Amino acid sequence: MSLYPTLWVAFLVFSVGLFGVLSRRHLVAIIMGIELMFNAANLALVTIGWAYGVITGQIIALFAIAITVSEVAVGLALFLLLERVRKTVYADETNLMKG
Amino acid sequence: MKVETIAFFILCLGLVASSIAVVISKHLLRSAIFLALSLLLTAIFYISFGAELLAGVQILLYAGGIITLIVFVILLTERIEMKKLEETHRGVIPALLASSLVFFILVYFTWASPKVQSLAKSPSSSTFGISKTLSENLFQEWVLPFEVLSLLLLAAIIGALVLARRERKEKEI
Repeated sequence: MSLYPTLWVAFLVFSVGLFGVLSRRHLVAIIMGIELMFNAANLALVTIGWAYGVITGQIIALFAIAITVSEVAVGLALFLLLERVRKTVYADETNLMKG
Repeated sequence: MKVETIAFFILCLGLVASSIAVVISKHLLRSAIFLALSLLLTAIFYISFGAELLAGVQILLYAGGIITLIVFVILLTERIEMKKLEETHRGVIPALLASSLVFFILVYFTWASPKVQSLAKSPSSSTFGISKTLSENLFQEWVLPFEVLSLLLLAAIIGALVLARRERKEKEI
């Protein structure tokens, strides 16, 4: 186990998730990209906490996991509502709040 | 080359490959399965960094809870008006440019930072009794964020219920 390779893997996964968020059209696919980004951030937190020898990284990662779970629940509920009201699942066809 | 290094390399490769498969897979269910694989591989990373409790939470909440939710939502909305949905990408080149720019910025600043360099030379990597220390810290120093988090979870449950509830028509009441 070493610090730099793990951090780079975390950054790579973060960038892959960002690519998914920017390029996918389906809203659930965008939520999955956000999941990948959260996951990479948690991995970086745990790695840095391990390198410092403190437990704080793991505690913050634990909180981040709980926050992610609630975010996904609300996001998927919003998605179901959008699908029922606007009959679309694509992000670029939802322009309800565009001026 | 030690066995540990080879195993670590394979683990990194698997994590990156499954993450890429999540964002490029055409079928949404397939990409949900690859997301589950990538979250499980991250749990193995956590175990190897001595965060066993976090690995358990990861498997329970992420691979258990979130993947189930996502698969349910995909199956609920897979067909709209009897037309099967095909997932497509848009704006691939700008997205690729932006995400690789973010990646190189992150790598550059961790590579150039003297703090991270000294950490990488001598990581403390102490293996203290991890669950005991974590719970002591969690319920002494971090108890206020913990309670606020429970409030957030309650708000998320109520919000999701209110949003996803089907409105009853007036005739039915």
